[in-house]
Amino acid sequence: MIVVKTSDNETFTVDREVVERSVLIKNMLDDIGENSEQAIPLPNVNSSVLKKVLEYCEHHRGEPLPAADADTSQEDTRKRSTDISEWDQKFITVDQEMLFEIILAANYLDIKSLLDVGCKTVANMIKGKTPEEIRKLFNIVNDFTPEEEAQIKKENEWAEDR
Amino acid sequence: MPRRSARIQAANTANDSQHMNATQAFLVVKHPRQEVEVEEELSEEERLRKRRKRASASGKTKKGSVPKPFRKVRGRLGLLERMAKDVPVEIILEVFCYLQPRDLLRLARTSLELRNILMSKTSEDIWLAARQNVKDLPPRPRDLSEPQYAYLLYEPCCHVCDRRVVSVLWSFRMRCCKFLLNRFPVFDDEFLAKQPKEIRDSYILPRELIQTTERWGFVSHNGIAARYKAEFETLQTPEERDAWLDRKREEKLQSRKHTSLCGSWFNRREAERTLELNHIRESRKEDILSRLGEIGWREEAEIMMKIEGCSLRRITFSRHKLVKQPRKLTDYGWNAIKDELLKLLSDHKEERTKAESNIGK
Repeated sequence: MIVVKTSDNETFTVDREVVERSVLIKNMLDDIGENSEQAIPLPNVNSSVLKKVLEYCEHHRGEPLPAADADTSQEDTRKRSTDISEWDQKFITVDQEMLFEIILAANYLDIKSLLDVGCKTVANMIKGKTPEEIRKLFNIVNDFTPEEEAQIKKENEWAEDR
Repeated sequence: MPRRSARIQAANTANDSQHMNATQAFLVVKHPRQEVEVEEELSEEERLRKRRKRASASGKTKKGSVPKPFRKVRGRLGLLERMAKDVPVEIILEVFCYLQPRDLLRLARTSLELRNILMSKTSEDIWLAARQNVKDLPPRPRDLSEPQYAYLLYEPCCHVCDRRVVSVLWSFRMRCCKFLLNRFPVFDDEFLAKQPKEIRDSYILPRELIQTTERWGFVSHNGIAARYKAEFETLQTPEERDAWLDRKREEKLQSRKHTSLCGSWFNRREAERTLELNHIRESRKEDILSRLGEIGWREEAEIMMKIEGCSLRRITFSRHKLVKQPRKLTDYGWNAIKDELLKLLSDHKEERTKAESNIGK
């Protein structure tokens, strides 16, 4: 069993197989060796988010991890599906705040499949919406004047190199 | 002049002038300078007035104000902006790679921050990835940038006046409302006579077939013709000119192939969209029926639907404006339409029982 400690000083004791879905933790464990009693500090993740993340890791334990850099080279030339499995869908049905935290944590802990689920979820929220609907959904402040807004609709050239 | 109210006339003039300004840019129509300036002012004012009216009518929020539902809930930035600002940029790019060009175009219109990210040439890969998410989308032609191509493919508006236009003039790279369509010069001997002989003889100028109620036939584009002419005339040596003509011939050939690909992609997409909308309508109707069933009104609705096919009556259930919308029914939506539907059904029932008892007599 492995002990991890969150930013708010809570400790979780987890199966190695579960926690190793995080490439960050896996690498740490490989570095410090099997028998360390010390809790692994995760200063960028709080307990409520880690609980969620561990729930995900627990459900997906034993599934093959993606190879380190296999996808980046191939993925560029094919259609990316935004389909999310039923369990993941249910898991990721959280408020925007939590979704954001999960994405951040998945990125920090290097859990590619969870990061994918998070990104797909955000993408699905954007898909098919008008600019106004996107603003509403994500609380984006419209910083264009009405004149600019009418203007930019017609400006579809690359902006000048900055 | 046919009969029209003064208001409509004024509106038309303003619209026309707006068009004329734009037409100038596109079609190189000559105007006395002063007149154009006056018209520009007029049309700008008219445009602003309209937009204000539209904004207040649809209850859209004004610039700078936060949409109501969020105003009190949170003082913090929304998810997307926080992602754009606080998160490693790869993550937001990761999100964008799941979208389609249509979504990127719309995102680029939400705020300056997102616009700066997406309209920079450094984001070309994101647009490329987004195009790959669209089934059977023809490749991007070389003369269009990613956002320009997305604009042509997805924005169902006249590129000049914003009126809704579905069809695309692929070789002119634009969508045009009827007003503009009627102003393109005819592609005929007279038009060709104005072009340099070499350009004329190599059949490189793009043309489009226009089929409106007012005109039918091939038209050309003054702007493109002028550009070709200018390009051609800057070339000095016969070798340069021949090479240029060869290149343009090849471009025309490619463009023709591309147009046909785009055309079939476009038609297929429209057909799919129609299917999808019908599907949504159908499930909305089913949803309404089952909710009516819970309060004992399904039967009456079904009686109404039974006679729809053979009845000339205007009041129908399936085609009622609250029923036929292509929108998923929510609890909120149901509460909003419930009373009106119940009124419709109870009126129908009353009328029907009266008619039936008359027959009984």
